[in-house]
Amino acid sequence: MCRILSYLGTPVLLDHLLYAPDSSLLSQVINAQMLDMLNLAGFGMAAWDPASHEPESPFVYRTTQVGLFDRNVKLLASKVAAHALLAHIRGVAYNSTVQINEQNVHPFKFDRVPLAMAHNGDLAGFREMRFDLVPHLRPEFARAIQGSTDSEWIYALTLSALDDPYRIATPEELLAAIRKAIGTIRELRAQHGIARSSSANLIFCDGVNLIAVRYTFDFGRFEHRQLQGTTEFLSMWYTFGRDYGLHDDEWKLIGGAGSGDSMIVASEPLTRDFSTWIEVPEYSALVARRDGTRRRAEIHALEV
Amino acid sequence: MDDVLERVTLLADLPPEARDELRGIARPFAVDRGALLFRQGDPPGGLYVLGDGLLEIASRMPGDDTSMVSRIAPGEVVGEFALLDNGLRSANVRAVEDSTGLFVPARAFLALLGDARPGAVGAIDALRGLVARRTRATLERIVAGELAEPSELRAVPAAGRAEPVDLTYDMIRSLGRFARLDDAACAALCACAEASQVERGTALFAAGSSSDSALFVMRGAVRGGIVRGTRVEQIAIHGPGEWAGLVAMIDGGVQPLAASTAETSVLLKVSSDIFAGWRRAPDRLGQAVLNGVDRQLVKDQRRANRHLGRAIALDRFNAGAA
Repeated sequence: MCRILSYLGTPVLLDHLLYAPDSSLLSQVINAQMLDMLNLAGFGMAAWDPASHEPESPFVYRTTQVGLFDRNVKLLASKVAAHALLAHIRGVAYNSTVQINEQNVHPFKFDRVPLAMAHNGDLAGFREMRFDLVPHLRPEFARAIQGSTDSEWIYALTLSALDDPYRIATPEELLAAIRKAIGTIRELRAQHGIARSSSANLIFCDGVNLIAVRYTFDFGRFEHRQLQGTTEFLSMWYTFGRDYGLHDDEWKLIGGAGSGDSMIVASEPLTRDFSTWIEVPEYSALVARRDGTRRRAEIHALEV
Repeated sequence: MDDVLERVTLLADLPPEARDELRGIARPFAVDRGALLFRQGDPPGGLYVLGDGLLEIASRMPGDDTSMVSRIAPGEVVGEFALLDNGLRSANVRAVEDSTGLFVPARAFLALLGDARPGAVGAIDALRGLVARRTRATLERIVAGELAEPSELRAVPAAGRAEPVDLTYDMIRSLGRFARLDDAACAALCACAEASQVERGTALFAAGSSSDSALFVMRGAVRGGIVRGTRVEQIAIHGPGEWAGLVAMIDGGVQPLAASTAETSVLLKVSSDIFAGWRRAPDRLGQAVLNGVDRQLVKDQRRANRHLGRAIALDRFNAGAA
């Protein structure tokens, strides 16, 4: 299991998102609030900096180092101010069968494609069904898969469902592609007799729009002989406002929702105090889109 | 100060000796006008019974906005979640006027409850009713508000297939709350409930229907929602270990939400008579059930509040964008 953070809005120094809050993404490497696991298997981010060369292309950094101890991330975070961010720390099972390599670090972003994606969750039985996904992939995306994660296949499947994955898609086009990808996985799971609860919490960002998906295949269908634990770590949270910063000793967005233009979405709140955070509902997608000079946020039902 | 508990309508049905037990662990509190009694996100300390003054409950929202939830008058209580669940405070409570009353610490109360003392057993059941009624009131605000955007509405569920299934002890013990139930308690649960497997997308009960039973989710997920014409606004997803229809089972009113299976699910149907027996005199099984019920009642109210908060906040955010 992993932790994800994304941001869209007025440019913010990455340090203020990745390190400064009392439950920042990088502190979640060893001390997540909603996940009793360490997230040691790598850190990655795509950050869109409006002051950079070709600002529509994100600055991408991925490492298999434990994010908390990576001095390069810390130094970069103190220099880069981004208007959009998708960052991820990877958590995996504690055994030697897991592959720790750069190709498995999120977010995924194929060459020349503007869309990036990060995943929190795990698809049960994925190794048995994955090659049946190939007919649903564009050949160039099937060839582009380099890692061994289910996440990269979900990403390739979603891109393949877009008419033109090489341009910025509208939120409607993205939602249609996400629904098609989820539907394909659901069908193949049924064909393979896979009915174990499997989470696909996904965040997509292209620097213009952000879509956060909270979806669990076969929600609550666990093995009868297996003691069931909490599923709190599979939630998704967001908050919005106008001015993100340290206000009254608390890292938060202020300025009221009515004048807000910035949004943070994460697998858990960045602060111990959840008061100003709201959950994305299960089986739903949160869409943040450009609407004239401001942004608009919507919840979309995912009926797949 | 000692007569404060006598004025609490919620505890009016408790016998005098039960109220004496509560009085024995309570201590006075006073808060000046304008001061915070507790803050959203604070650890839960206990229940406040207001004797004199006026309190206001307000919830923080995205953008650092606040939304007034309700006011607490003398004879009413606030902070009741602390006795039902160990989650953080869910709202700010501020004194509108100089206020005094009694504070019932959670730890002392839970010790009384652990000893099945009548004061605690009676009070906790009264609090269940209070939380259920407050959840119902929030759901009614959501229904009246009609703030949901068309994009978040879903198809109305249809009639679907349901087949009886044999409940096994392994199945029961796979739920953390029931992991330590002995064979006798598992047998009692099997005897008092009808188990069935219901396919995905099946309507289970309608909003406004009677509360003669509740459905316990063993496996899968049940969606609770508000019907908006030909569509449904999702309010909650109940996974394994949760009940669908709990608010109505506790407060005796009609079902406030429609329910349907979000996934193919194994459900236990438990009658209101069985439920009433657990509440009146909880045995080992009843105690395990009620522990979960108390947490879910709080969770259901938090869900309803968050749903309402989300709708209000998105409405404000998007009004600014228009």
